[in-house]
Amino acid sequence: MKRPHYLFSSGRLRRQHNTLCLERTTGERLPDDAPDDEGLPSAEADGARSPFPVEAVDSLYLFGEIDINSKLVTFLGQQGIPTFFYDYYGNYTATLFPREGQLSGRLRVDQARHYLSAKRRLVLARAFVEAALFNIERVIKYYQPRLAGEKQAAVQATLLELKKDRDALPLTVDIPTLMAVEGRIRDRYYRLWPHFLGPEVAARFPFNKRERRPPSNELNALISFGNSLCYSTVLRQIYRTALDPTIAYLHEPGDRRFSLALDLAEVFKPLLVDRMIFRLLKTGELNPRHFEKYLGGCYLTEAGRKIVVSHWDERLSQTVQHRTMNKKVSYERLIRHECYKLVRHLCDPVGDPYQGFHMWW
Amino acid sequence: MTTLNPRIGGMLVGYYRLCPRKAWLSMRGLWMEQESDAVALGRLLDDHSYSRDEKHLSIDAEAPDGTELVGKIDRTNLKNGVLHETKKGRACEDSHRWQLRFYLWLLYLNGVTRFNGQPFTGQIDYPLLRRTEPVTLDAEHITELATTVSAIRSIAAQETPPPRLTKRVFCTKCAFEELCYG
Repeated sequence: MKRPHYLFSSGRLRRQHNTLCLERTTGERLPDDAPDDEGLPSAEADGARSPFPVEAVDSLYLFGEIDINSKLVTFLGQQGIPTFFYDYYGNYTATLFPREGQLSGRLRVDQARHYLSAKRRLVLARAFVEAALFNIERVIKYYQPRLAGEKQAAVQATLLELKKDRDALPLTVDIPTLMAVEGRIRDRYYRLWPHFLGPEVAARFPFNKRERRPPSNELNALISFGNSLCYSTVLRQIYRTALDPTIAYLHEPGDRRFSLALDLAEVFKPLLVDRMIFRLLKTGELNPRHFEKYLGGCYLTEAGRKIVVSHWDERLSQTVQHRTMNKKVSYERLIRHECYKLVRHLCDPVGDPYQGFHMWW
Repeated sequence: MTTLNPRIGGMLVGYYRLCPRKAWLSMRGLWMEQESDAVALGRLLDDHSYSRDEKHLSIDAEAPDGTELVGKIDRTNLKNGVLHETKKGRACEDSHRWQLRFYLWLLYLNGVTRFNGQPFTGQIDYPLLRRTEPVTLDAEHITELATTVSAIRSIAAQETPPPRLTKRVFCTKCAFEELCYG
């Protein structure tokens, strides 16, 4: 069974005997923006060596400072393993993609055609926002019964407002207004977060509004890190299909990164990222110790990142009973299905229109 | 608007007999085989069985309607004039037969016969089941193959995929299942 591997240690990753091996260093990692005149490889590999089978690797996440060489890059390319790089602060920085695995010229043309036609583009962009809104409502309704008094009233009011936003969706005439509706939805939703977290957690993790680059406080740091995990997971799935990750509908193509992954991540964030955050904070698995402040921003510490990533990994492999296929599928696989739905829409927008993923549980 | 003139191979003919939608999708470059365990097993089986024989012979021909036809035959026994096709199981036996008939047709179109002037015959090998099944090509099959090839050619020109099968018996085993129903 292939699964993603997350490497937090620093050291050297190499191809050895046609498999992978991590040779660890024991030294401390320095921030990537610290002055470095030497340009030398990381410290000597003086720590443990851990070989691991390449057949079990679906993708690699490098959170530590890792030296690689072209031999390894070629090997990863042959094995079709994408590698995601994160900087010292846990920001996503780059992906190393194997040469295109699946190519379909016709599909790519269709993808571009749907982008170029304002009407067709809007149909898809709306579907993304609509599905994101549905899943957000689902999360709200999950927490609603646990609240009382004025908190309950606040949730009721927000649900009403969200309903208005939902009604406004079909009336949106272009992408910017759609983006504005989407932003409004998220704003209203974030305002409920302190209620969902409960008074104790909310006191430890104050949250007024979403701020990024840099994230201003713990919750913002957590959202940013969670979103970047979600983004790379979606990308990993897109990469296994013939879709071109740069052509997107809700986000402008080439905005930043692979925009199609941003479009699809929108749909899954409430289920995967937001509920993960509530869970980790409410159970006390994460606490203020797991965050540190640098350069005016707030970031997860390595220990904190490990907690989030291991929870994330577990969450992705959770399964639900699929309704039409009548078998169990993992959350991660649901993302792949989303890519396939998009493929079906691009092939046949009338007969098989895309409807974004709606949580059915 | 599409002026597709696809090269049609034996696997595609097999796909079409099974499910035209599958054929359309794979012609679009939307392959699903790379992750299917069943397909991987089939490939492994092909690689590891009958290693002493001549394998993977390629031939091409032109159909009566001008379509380019290509074939990659699993295994040949030229001395006895038999084309072999190795398969894992009999789940889609009818489509296997058509795939092999297609290869026999390619030889027929090229005017290739055995030393004694007799036409080639075919045999499907199921090494896991320890069974073989003979396949021959008659005049009716030839007309049927010609119609199949033109039908594939016309669906290749189609903008949208053919509908999903109404009976989903095979779908649960198909590598394309998630693409169709996911």
